[in-house]
Amino acid sequence: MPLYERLLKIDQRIVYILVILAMLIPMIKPMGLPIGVSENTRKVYNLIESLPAGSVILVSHDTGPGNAPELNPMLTALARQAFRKNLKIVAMCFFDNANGPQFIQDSIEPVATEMGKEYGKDWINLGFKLQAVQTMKMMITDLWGGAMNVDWSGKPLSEFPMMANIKSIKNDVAVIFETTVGTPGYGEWMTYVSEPAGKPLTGGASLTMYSGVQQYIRSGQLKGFLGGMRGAAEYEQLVKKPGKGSAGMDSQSIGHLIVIGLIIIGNIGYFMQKKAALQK
Amino acid sequence: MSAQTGLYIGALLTIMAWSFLYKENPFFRFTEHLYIGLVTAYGVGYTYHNNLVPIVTKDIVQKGGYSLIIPAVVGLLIYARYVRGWVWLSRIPMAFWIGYGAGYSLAFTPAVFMKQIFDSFIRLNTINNIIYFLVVVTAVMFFIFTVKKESGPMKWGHYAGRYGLMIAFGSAFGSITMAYLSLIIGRLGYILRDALHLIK
Repeated sequence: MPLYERLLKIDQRIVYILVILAMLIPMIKPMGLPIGVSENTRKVYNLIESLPAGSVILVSHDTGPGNAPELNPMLTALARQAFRKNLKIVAMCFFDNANGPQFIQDSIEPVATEMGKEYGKDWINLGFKLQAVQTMKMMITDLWGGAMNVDWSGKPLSEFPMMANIKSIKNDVAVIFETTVGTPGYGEWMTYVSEPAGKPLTGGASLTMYSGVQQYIRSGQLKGFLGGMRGAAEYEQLVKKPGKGSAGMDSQSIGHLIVIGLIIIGNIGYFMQKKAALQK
Repeated sequence: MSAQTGLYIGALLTIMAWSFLYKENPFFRFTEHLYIGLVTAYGVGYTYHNNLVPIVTKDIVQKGGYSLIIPAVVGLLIYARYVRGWVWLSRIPMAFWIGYGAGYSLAFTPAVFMKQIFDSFIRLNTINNIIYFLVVVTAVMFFIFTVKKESGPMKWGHYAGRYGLMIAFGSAFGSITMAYLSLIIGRLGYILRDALHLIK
């Protein structure tokens, strides 16, 4: 078999093993590659930083297990910044009824406990809500109604002190923080809430969406953006508490090198094959 | 069951799911069915307790909002599609749904797009702005299908627009690769850090 054929027919299982090893080794033996902070991440941080104490951040954490490693660290970093500034978090999700509410809990609760913040006073998990667009729209004027008057565990909102002053997005929410993997996402929040109600929208998304949100950032409709695990790692740098986002960046960098290497090998094989065909 | 046992099970299930990368096998099948079953059951239970019960007990029974029964009944008509001869009834909730959705979307969406269109009216005083402007114009030219593109500016606009789109797709592909690597890192972290405590 000629060399170009061998390059073009590498067993995909070898590729999987190479990629997994490339990511596994830096996890076991971290290299501490530097993480620069992008302008978009800084915008998210600065927006939250600019809020006065007591302001409310409405979080919509719309991810499933697939993209949780990218988006959960963003929520943890947000909680750290928000609690340091004595901001309040009202979190919910529209994407995954089975996992979303638990992701919110797992991402915020440990930070709240560590920073002495109390569930129901400083933050609340409204859980999964049906019919994203209708619920969002309702919440502009009636946040309780959109939440069906209960938190994620089914307890009435009237039992939580912080909710006494949070009745609507229009009057009581300062910023909407959306973490998303698609739909519902920025399009829905922008169209039905942030633009009509005049509320700033920020957040992060899976890197699969990076190209698709650029126009929102350029037009100023999205105030900053955290792009995938990289964005989470940058945000963790800004809140000065490296977490799961930062921990994965060495692996990510080496993984990229492997992918780039494989693309180059594939292209060399392709051009060698083309040349051989011409010579025949 | 302790939390640690749950983590071990999660790690084992991750490896069983990944076994598909080698080839289709019973371990992968078991994981797939287990996941779908669990998610469905949890979702039904969660929706029932956190969405349906509060409406029925609070809004309808306690607050006397009996008018809510009307949209509920209209919504239930969707299941008429399973009854021979009554299928036409299922189109009523669909008509409400599509009519409301389309009308609502048309009312609000233009306001969002307009900002992005205005954003493309920029001063051509930097290289970035010039590239941005050219790509917007030529990409739009690429999608004009009512004019022949065999010669003249349309040909070159179409050609340049195609390259602009290809660069955008390349960028999207790179982002997607990065995202999928993040997902593997997340699961590896779960196995090594959370379940086995092999790394910090």
